[in-house]
Amino acid sequence: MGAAFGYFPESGFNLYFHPEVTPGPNEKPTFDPLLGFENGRKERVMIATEEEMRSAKIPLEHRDYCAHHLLKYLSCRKDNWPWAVNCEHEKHVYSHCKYEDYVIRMKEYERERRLRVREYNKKQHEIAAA
Amino acid sequence: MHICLIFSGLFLFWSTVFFLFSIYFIVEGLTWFLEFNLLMINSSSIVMTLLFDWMTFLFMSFVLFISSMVIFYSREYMASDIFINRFIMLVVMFVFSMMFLIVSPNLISILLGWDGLGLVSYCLVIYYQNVKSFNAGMLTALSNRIGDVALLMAIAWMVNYGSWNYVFYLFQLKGDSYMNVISYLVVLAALTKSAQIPFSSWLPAAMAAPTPVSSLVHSSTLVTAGVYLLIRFNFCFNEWLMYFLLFISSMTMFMSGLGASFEFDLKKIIALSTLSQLGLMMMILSLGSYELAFFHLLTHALFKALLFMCAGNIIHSVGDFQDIRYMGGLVKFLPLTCVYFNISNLSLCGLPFLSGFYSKDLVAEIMSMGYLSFYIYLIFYVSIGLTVCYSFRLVYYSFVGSFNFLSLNSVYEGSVMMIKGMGGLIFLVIFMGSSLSWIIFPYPYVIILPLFMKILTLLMVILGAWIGYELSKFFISYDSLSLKNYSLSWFLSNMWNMPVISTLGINYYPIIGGSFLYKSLDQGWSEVLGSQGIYSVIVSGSKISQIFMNNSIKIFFVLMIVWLMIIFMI
Amino acid sequence: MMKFLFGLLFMIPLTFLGGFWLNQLVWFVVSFLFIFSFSFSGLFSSISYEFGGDLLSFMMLFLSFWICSLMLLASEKIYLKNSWTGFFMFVVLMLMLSLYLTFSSLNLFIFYIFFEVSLIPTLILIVGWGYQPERLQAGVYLLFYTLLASLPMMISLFFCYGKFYSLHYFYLSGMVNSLFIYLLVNMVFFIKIPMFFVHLWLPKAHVEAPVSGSMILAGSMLKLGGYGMMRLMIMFQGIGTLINVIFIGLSLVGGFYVSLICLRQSDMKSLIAYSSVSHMGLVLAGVMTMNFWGLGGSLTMMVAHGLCSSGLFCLANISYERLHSRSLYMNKGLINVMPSLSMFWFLLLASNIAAPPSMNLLGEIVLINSLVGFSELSMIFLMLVSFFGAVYSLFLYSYSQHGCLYSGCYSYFSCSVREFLLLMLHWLPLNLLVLSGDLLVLWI
Repeated sequence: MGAAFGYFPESGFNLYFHPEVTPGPNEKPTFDPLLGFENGRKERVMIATEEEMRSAKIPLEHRDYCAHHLLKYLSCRKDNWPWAVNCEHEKHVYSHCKYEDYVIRMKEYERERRLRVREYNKKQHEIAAA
Repeated sequence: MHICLIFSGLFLFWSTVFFLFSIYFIVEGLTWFLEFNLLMINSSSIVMTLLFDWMTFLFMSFVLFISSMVIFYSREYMASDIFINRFIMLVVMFVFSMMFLIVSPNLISILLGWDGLGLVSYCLVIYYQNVKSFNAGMLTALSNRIGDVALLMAIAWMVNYGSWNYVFYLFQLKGDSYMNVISYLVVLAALTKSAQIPFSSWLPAAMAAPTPVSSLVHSSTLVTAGVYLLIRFNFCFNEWLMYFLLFISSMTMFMSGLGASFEFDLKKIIALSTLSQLGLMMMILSLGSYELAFFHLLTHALFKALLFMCAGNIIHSVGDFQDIRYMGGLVKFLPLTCVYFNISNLSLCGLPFLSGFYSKDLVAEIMSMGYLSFYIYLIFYVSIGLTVCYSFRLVYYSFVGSFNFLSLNSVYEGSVMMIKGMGGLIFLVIFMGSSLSWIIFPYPYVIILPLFMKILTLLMVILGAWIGYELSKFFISYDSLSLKNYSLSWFLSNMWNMPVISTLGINYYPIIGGSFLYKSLDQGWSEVLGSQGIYSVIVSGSKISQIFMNNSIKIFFVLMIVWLMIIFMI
Repeated sequence: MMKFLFGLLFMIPLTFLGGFWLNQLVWFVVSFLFIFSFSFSGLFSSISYEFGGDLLSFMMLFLSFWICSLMLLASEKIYLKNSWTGFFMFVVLMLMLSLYLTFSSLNLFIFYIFFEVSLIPTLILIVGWGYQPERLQAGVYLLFYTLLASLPMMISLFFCYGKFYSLHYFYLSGMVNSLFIYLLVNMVFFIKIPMFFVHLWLPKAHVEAPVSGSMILAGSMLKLGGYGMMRLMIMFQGIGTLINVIFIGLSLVGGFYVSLICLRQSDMKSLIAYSSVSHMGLVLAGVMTMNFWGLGGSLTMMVAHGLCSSGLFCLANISYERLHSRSLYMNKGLINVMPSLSMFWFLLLASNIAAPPSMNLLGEIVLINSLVGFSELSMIFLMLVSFFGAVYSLFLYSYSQHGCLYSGCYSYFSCSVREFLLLMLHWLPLNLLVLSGDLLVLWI
């Protein structure tokens, strides 16, 4: 909730005032992923293979959808060592990919939250109608 | 004098060698592992193991560099001391103990460095022969001893796994009940060494040591030994332990920041600043990023050592006064020292692009990106503000404010050797932060934060600076708020009265227990049931037989005849 | 084995006819020669006519030989003042003879006889060359505490002979299921080790004894109890699993209480004596756990403690010879006048705390492992014993070395090479033998 402080005043209040509709940080999505997408969604693909990541000995937490950029960055670093400053382009590409990934995750979270709010409102209408 | 130059040069050489090794090892991903088997009991081996990793080489090179600068500096600082050879040998022993601790992945061989650190730092703290050093040394040694005992017990529990080479199985056995106990004991040991909340009274008291000792021991090496142990062990901590550590370290950070804002002794302010930064290191460690804790450990070692050395130069110049109320306006007299001091202070505060900024700001941003409670967030940023507050207050009191010292003075910067020692560190303080962040993070940290949180650190710095300036406007009057709420200001400045509780509160009981046991057991019941009691029983028994003997001799003859008759009858 | 026995016997004329330093030299030669006849295994070797030794006996014998040689090195004052020098050396030789025969005998009765005999030369040492009038009571305590329990042990030896038809160590393998015999046999070892409630003779005897008496008491006499217990534990395996827990608890708690008592001593030698009780309490607890770690750790701790406490008594005596007082109120600030000696104070007291790399640390680690393996509750008292061990050792160091110099003393003789040699010969084996720690821990 402290991190949500930055999005003040919106979601800073969410967890405190509306805990029932705010998803936790580690919860999985509860709604159908294709709900509301008439034209379907593009599936995310892993470009770096398992073998490549294993041979480069990348730690498990960094084996995500941006790992192919990470592999390029690491190989550039190793080639230019100790002048790692020559790899700034690869680092920027990787950071940009991670940024995109973060935005996608943020959007997923917000979609989940808004779907829950919609469910909640629907239930309130039903209770008020009954 | 020559002993200083020899060791200083030796350490400088080895520091550069180790640094080159470390950057080679980072990129190649190498690890060397050397084992000397002492004995093997029932398939548990007691070994002396040496693990050479990029982390160990980097840490060793930093420790050796700082100690070489400190020894060069103490060539001038301790020049008038008769026992300078003993002092330098103690410092060298200390550095060797630290080396042993850094290179060992084995719990038993870590004891070699750990116990060595505790005992040698005791010798160094009591170096000046006065009552204050005596008490401070005892406090230091016994607080560290609690950690030693906890490590011994962790050794006993690790027999369950058959090997003391913990690096191999920490991650696999996380959550196992034995590993839980071991991790509790190891965290206890690290808490005592790094002076976190229940055991934090020894660090300000240990400022009774000579300044080179404070610079080397109490800023960069001894107190970071606890953090280093936790960095090595952090794979096995379970969730509750990390919550506990987070709470303790955030409390320490906050408390020492508050204490330093009220303190008037120069070295104690810097000691409490060290304590605050240690709390920060522990905090980021308990959140899981041990590489960041290591990074902050290294940059903090540099600028804190430099801060202590500048403080030593100031103390020497103003005739061994340590109270900042006696100093002021020193920028006119000690310009180079003032420059070094200010650079280190600004680096400590996290001014952009000095070395402290890279580590501290990264810590703040990683923390903001995580999912934490509001309380931790608040404490953290308030502590950052407090850091700046006491730093600026210190600068105002000692350098910028009006001159408060005696008018017959000799405050000047004539000591070339001290300046050279400090100058070796200043370039590292400025550049090492950025260099390290480019070298040691192969997997870059990507920070995505909203604008407000991003500049919150800088906002707190500015806010803290302003509050520090306001706090330093100290006037003596009957109407002062801190005198009206005397118990509150005593509570806040005296580290929340914990030193009193942990020394006066508990010192009494073992001593009274000892005298009670001596008088009532050893000289009491054990004697009564043992020797003196048996003695008095025997004496009274023989007195009874004296009653029978108190007869005339004819009775004895008659008795003899009676007995002979009885015997011959049977 | 016989060559050393005869060697010792033929040293008797040397004590009366030879000079003091010639005797000293011969003692060192005998010690070094003894090392060559070691056998580094747990099996009995050099067996002949009821004498022989395994690694336990050899280590104890080596310790005794070494401490006796160092006793002569420490007692130069007796030579300088010419106070019955020949008789002193004879008494030391008799003590060594009785210890030799005790440790190297394979027969329980011979062990018992020379166990008793070793008390007599000790008594003569204490009463003959001690310093204060209280030494008479100290001698009485020493003698009668042990005698009270050892005569019942003789009776129980007759019982063992009746049960096993032999008193040789190899034949003691049967189970003795009687609590009465257990107590009778082991009581004398508890008093000797010493266990907590029956330790009263130890501070008195150590304090009143001259330095040589203190050294041999701390070095070897206490180990007699541990040695006997380790030999005779085989008989009591059955009943031991039921009863030993009492004695383990008693010695652990006793170790803690004694550490607290140490904090209140103002007499240096009394403090070192009580610290002996604390360490030997750990040893007793380790032996009583009857596991492999416990027995190995006990031997290590016994050898380490013998060297360390003996060295500390030498240090206390060095201060005593200059100030003629053992009190901490007068022995203070010594770092200002004898800084090199302060280093040895610190090194030996650091070994007492069990700081690495001394053998005390190895022994303490192994003993802690065995005791925590026996019961996790012992962890509490082990932590307290370890912690307070550091407290009183640092108390002794800081009071005697740092602070203001006692203003009533005019001049101090800076230490002679003999004294440094003495201390180095204590400290070096203590810290170097840890490299061959497998000799001590793996003696079974």
